[in-house]
Amino acid sequence: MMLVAIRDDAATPKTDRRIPNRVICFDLYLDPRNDSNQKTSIWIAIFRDVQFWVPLVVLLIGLLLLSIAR
Amino acid sequence: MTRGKVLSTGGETRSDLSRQRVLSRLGIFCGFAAALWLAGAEAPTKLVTIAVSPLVISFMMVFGAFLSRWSLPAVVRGTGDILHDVRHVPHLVVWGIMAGCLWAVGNTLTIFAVRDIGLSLAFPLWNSNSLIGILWGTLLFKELHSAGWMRKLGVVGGAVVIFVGAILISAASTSEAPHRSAVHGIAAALGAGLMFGSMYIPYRKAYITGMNPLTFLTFFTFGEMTMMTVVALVFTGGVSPFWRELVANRGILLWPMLGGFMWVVGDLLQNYAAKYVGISRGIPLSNTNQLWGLLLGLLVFHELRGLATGTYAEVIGGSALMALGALTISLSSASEAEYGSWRRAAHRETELYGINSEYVSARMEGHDVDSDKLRRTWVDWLLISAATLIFIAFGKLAVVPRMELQFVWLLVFGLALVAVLAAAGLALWRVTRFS
Repeated sequence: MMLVAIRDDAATPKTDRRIPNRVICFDLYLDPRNDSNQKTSIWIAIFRDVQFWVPLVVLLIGLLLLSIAR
Repeated sequence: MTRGKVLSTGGETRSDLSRQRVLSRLGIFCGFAAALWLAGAEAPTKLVTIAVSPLVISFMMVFGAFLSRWSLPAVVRGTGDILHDVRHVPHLVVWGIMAGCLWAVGNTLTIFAVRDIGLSLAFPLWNSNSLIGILWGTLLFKELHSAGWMRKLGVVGGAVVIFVGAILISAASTSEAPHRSAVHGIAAALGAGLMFGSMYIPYRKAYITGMNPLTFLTFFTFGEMTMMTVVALVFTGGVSPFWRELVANRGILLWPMLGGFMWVVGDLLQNYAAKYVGISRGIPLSNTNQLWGLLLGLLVFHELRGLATGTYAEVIGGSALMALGALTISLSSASEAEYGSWRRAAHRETELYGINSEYVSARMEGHDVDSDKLRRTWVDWLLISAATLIFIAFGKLAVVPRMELQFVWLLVFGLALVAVLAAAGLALWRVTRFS
């Protein structure tokens, strides 16, 4: 689910001039209470995980070797 | 869990350290028990004396494993526990299936390797899987990190010594097959080693998060069965030719199925070893199955009779090296600092997948978090009954081959299997409730 959040940073100390008082953030926010979003975020985590890609690449090498050995 | 703990140096508690020592001893025992059962899995397949396609034997072994992998967890903890476990860590289903696919591809590669270069050359090449397992354990899961040099040397040196022992035994105990294509055969054998060694990445991934081995292996079997069926159909030319092969060999189908059942028990114990001592230690220990397989062949099947003295020297030397390697590894248990590395690796999992950290930490320490919610249902009894009936049906078709067996040694080996399984089962129940 894509949400546009408007963050009111009125509490930001005035001494820090780099941060404006009102910031508009565009962000991908997945509501964790929604089942379908939970599944999406799990898949995103899996695709970001090197421990998923290493055995997958090894499996593809194995299938290649199998077709050669045959 | 924290009640009654006494703080020691380094933020650990004495009860934590004592628990780790108990789990380490349990894991090492499971590694040795796995070796015995994995060797035992060879015995039924030795009864297949007629020329049968290796694909049929491999497929039936996987089919037997598939039936056992659904019925054994139903016996031990109930399928409800599997579904409950998966709800904590649903992402691991992907790794379970992938590990099964890796095993099926690796197993088929071994068939081609043996065909092309013979067992004596192929076996040591794919037995390098434990060294690959150590590499992945160190690189991806921080195993052996923060361990002292002596412990690192003990584990890596022990694995290398077991590897050398395996080369000696296989050179002595097998005869060379005609070399059809050496390059293809060597590539297939090394590929099998790579598949088996990399299969431990999903294993460790599951266990560092605390998943129950019974749950992991249930999903493993889907990947294994699907991939094996595809490979068998593609390589035999389709459904009809493969079915004809199965029907033509119906008299021997029970034996590889029984081998599959025994292999599941061995693999389950190997998985508990991987969970509690890591893949760097657990896998080389279970790889000593070759030693037990050799004893089985010598004593029960009367193999290796009338060989030259030099060959017997190779067998004895190889066996002694394997035993020495296993002893070295079992004495190099993980230090507190190394356990700290394991916990950091587990913390990465909780961050990445949003898993409840209490679940991970409890399961890593072998505590059962859901034992009060578990009950067997009619589904479990249906699975157990169906699997038993299928085994009985294949038993009705089975033909017992005429061969010379040493029944006294067979009985001794059978009793040893039962005793080791009972001891491991009792210890796992007492310490972890099969968690």
